[in-house]
Amino acid sequence: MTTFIKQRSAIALGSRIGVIAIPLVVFIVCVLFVPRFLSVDNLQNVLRVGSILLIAACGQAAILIVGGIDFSMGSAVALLSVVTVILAPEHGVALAFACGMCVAVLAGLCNGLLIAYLKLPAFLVTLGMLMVLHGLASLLSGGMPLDAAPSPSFLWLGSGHVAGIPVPIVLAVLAVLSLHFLLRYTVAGRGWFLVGTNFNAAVNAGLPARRSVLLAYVVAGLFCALAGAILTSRVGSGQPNLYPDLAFATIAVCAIGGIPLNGGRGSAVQVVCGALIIAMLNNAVVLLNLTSAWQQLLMAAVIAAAVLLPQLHTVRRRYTHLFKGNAQ
Amino acid sequence: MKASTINRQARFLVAPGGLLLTVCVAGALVGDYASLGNLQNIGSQAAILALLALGQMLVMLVRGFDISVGAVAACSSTVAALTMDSLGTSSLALAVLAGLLFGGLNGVLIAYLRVQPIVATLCSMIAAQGLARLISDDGQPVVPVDASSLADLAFQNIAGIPLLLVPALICMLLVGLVLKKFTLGRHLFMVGCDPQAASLVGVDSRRVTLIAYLACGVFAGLAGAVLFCKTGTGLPTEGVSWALQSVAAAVIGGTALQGGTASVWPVFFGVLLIQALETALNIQGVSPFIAEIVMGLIILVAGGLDRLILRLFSSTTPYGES
Repeated sequence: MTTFIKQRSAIALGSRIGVIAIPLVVFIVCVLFVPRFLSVDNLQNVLRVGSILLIAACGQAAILIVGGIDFSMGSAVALLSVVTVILAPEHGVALAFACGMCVAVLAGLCNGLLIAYLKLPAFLVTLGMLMVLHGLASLLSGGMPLDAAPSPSFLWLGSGHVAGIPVPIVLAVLAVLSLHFLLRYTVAGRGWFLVGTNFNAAVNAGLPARRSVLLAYVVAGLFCALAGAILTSRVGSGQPNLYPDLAFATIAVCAIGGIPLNGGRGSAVQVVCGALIIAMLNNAVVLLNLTSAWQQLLMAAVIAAAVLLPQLHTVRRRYTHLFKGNAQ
Repeated sequence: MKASTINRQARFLVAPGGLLLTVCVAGALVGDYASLGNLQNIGSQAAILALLALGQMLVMLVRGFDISVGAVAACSSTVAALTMDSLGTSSLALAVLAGLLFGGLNGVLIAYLRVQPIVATLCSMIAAQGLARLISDDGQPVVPVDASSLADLAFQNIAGIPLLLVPALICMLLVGLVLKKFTLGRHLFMVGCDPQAASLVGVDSRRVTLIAYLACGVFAGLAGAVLFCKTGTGLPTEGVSWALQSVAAAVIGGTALQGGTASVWPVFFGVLLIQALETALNIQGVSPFIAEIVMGLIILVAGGLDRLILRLFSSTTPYGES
């Protein structure tokens, strides 16, 4: 029994170190083998590009922990960008961004209401929402990208600086810290873990489980809105096809970081590690002049490796009987 | 006991009912809608989605998902187009083989390595997209030099049935037969209802799950072959929304998200419903974007109907266990 516990805690410790070790290994490999990777400008670029994905992935992580999933992020971001660009000339940049972000939060609220209170499956609700929001964005923009009037204030979120640090990076750090705070130190965040592990147990323990699920989707909507606002500002236009794969990319981030999709587990650190790995690899692929085909194949391999590596010890244990000949 | 029988029947009636309603309403509003020509058109449009939805139904039956079907179909259409000049018609078999490989990858990852279906199929979706880009000229459509042997396939009818739809119909007959009459079919239902219970009574639930994903991959490959026959080109970047549509068709056709409940023909009616609705909106001159919104709402409603039926016909439905 003691050895069992020791073994278990060793594995837990190992996976905890592994979470931080893998991005480090990727970083060192990139530094060694990718020319021009290690420079302040390039590293800042890696972080700036990765920050959008990281912020959106914070939202996805909150939803995964509570046992749901969100496929609609890509379209929510697209609708946000279109609304912002349409409103910007008349109502000013600040109000336009506020309205655009409200739209994304509203999308999260709709998802949450349908999933938590009407008990619809998250998979279908967010798939339906993906199409509805994309249709709305296309309808509003006429299916074409709309260019925003170039102004420094519109572009500030995406390319401005605060005390010499790019704004997206500052916002990403704030987002990660707030997710960490939510998950660690608030009653609502602690509740997500129980709700995600076992919904009925959470109800029986007296948790407002439905409100907890709703809250997770609204928080995800907020993170998604922030990511979308930065992205809109960076590209300076409203596009119905702004980042169609955002939801899949954020799920990949969480999977690479080791957050399981069946709920109840996850941390902000894992999200950061997943996002850093993807951002560094994407940057390395560009620096190495590889085509997008290779980038996709590499990404698939990385996701598979990230999901399979932590399981190695269980897989080995599960299949030892095949070699020894005594089935358990 | 009786309640569950009604529940089971009711969920399968949604798609045929919806299809009948759509055709009647659209037929009344638009003169030519219910004509044989237009119905044949709907049928041939449905050919690809029918194959994808059939595969999706099989993996959903064993509690899975496959979001890679669209990308795999696009990839295998590219494979067929690339090999058409050197291999002739047997390049279509190669397309199916490509689908089989991706299905096998999914199946091994999910059944034997216990990767969650969404992550595993996301992985193979990205891999299929990458592979399709790699073998084509970075996503450009591949046009074979001599595609004359395919030229008429897209418009031929056999006994009033569009030729393109024939592979889908044959596959459906086969799957329906297997599900109803063969041990494998019963095993699929058992694994879907409760994998552990199935293992306890001696069903190799991993093997059964692997077979479901293999079949799904084969159908996706076949869909790619049909796509190639229909357009005469390999389209590496096609099919992004097909996975969503196939899930929608399967759910409208009464397939339960929690596994263990599925039937072939309602799924086919679900496919026809989606296609009939799209055609109706198209003929009416409605913006394709509104059609997309309607499709999204239908997926939402499909999920809602599932819940509603459960609530109407069974006594207790706690969240998360149904």
